[in-house]
Amino acid sequence: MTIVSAERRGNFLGVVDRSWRNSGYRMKSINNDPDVPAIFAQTEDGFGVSLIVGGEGQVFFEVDSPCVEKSEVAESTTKATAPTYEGMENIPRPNVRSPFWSAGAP
Amino acid sequence: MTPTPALTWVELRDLKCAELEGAADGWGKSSNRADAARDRIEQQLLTGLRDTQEGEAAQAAVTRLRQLGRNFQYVYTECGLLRTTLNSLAHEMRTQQRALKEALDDAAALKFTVGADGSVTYPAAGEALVDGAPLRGGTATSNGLPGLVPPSGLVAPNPNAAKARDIADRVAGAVRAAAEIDWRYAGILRRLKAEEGLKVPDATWRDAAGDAAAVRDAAGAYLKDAIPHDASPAERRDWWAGLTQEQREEYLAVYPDQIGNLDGIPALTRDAANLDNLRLLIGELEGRDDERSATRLAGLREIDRQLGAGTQPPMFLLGIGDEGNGRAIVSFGNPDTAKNVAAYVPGLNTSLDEDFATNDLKRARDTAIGARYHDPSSAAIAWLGYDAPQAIDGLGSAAVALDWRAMEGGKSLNEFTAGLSATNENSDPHLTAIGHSYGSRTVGAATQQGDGIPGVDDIVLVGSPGVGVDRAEDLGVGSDHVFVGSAENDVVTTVPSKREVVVGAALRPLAPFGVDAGDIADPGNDDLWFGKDPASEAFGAKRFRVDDGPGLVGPVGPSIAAHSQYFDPKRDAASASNIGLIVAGRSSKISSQEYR
Repeated sequence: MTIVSAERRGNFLGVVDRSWRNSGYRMKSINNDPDVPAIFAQTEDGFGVSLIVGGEGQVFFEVDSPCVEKSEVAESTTKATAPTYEGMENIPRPNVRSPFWSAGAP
Repeated sequence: MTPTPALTWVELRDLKCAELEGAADGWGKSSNRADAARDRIEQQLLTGLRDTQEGEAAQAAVTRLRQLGRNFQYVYTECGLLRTTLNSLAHEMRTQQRALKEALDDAAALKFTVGADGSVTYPAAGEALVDGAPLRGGTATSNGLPGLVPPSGLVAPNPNAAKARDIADRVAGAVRAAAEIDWRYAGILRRLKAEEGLKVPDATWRDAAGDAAAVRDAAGAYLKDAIPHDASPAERRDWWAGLTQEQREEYLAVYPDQIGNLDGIPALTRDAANLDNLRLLIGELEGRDDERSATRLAGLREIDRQLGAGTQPPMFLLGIGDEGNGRAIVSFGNPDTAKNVAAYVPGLNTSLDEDFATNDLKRARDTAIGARYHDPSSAAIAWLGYDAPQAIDGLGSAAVALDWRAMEGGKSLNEFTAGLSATNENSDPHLTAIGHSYGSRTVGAATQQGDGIPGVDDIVLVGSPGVGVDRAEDLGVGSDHVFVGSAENDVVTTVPSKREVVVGAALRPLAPFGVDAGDIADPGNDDLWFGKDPASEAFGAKRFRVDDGPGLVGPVGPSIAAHSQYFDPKRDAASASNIGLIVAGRSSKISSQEYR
């Protein structure tokens, strides 16, 4: 995962925000805090899309499907193709440096 | 008629209680080995399989391994009970052995002889009333009713006769008691037999519940009720820490229901005990066919399902019980190692059922995940540790009862958070109490007892109909540590004060909160059912941004949806993320909302 430095956080969120708006996503809620900014949006067909900057600059992307009626279907048998890290305590920290995105990071 | 005990005093004297205890140790070792095996299956094999394998074969292996894990848990439970039964048997037999030995020692000191049948022969002594010659010796036997026939100076003037009679009574008493103990324990041990075969169905667990009860009855004198129920959680923690490993294992085997629900006991221990309780309770409820049992069973099954799914954050069962409306305390993340711990107190009509197991647990889970974005060392707990009111006909009729439930619940909540503080391994853990709906009234009541909620740094109130005090600063954590989420379309947060209530027919489906439509439309009033509106400026808490929620009257009539989505990162991302920040100890970063 790429390290996004505090200095580049604004650019990063700007790029995402622009892209989402251009795709017709509706902004549901935004946290403007410089340390832990977050964007919560919704696509036209009801998918929830979130970008959360968490502790130590860790960035979380999340997508969830629109609400459906609860029904008796089995859990999905398709495995994620990469670790989802959902709810984990020891999520690895970003470790890939990019000349642009990581500029100024310690 | 008393049947002649087959046991003789010689046998009782020579009984080697240490051998019984040796056997008990053996069963204890088996129990521990089974527990370790279950642990290995669940922690290593299942986790490894789930993470690395897919396909039907892996699925089948997971199912089989889960069954094997449960079988080991059953072995653990039953072997643990056997161990305590044998220890208890040895303990009781020792008591009788001691009584017998004292009687025999007395006989020896007096130079009496105790016959094989328990009769006591005594030598000549004293002097006759007539000629002054020593009175003849004789033999005394117990008539089985000691003390009933007082020795008469005329009939048995030999002073030894009375003493001999007393000794004979004591010997017979010890033997009789020992025979009774033997008979009683033989019955219990006979019960502790498992069915043949490798399946451990719920019916067998039902038997195990009965087994535990039987052993508990018998072992009362041996293990004593030394569990310090009246002590503070910190004292209980010290009590537990001071026990030997063997004592702890025996308490866990015989009193899982008490140890599992005792505040001050470490989370891992409570979890282990409650895993047992869960299985025992499922087995017990399986055997009943009333509606209440079925409802509760569905809740327990759902909790069990989630435990088996092995998701993150890991689940810890801090409480499971059948009392009142049911008890269930489930932590997502280990509350003893996490730096941030939140306890979520649910509200009206919550009870141990499938709805709680699904939705309330999800709230705690979502909260733990949300907090972990900001600090991975976080845990969140769904706390059903009290009887939430089950109102069905509006607040008006139950107002007094409601306040009382909140007081009782507040007391239990304080015990619980004191326990969290006592067992948390961090030097200064950050604790948050979260009250939803009526649960916020319970949190409010907790703050008004003693020195407030022990260890709690921050208080979150969502969907609150008032908390019983009129100012945030009265909650004991400082008004800038009280956070309020209140959706504009959440009808519960606009429940009018008691004197204004009129139950509007159109909104009747919103019961238990009897609401008048006119009051909802009129925003000028900041008095709610349980006092000042926590979202008002006068209350003085920090109001955080939440989604307004769906409108009051949806396509299918009145809706209470806006009251139920504060924790849901999908339906109310603003609220859920703010709660996550507060729980993670970063409340200065929340997005705020203007006062109502």
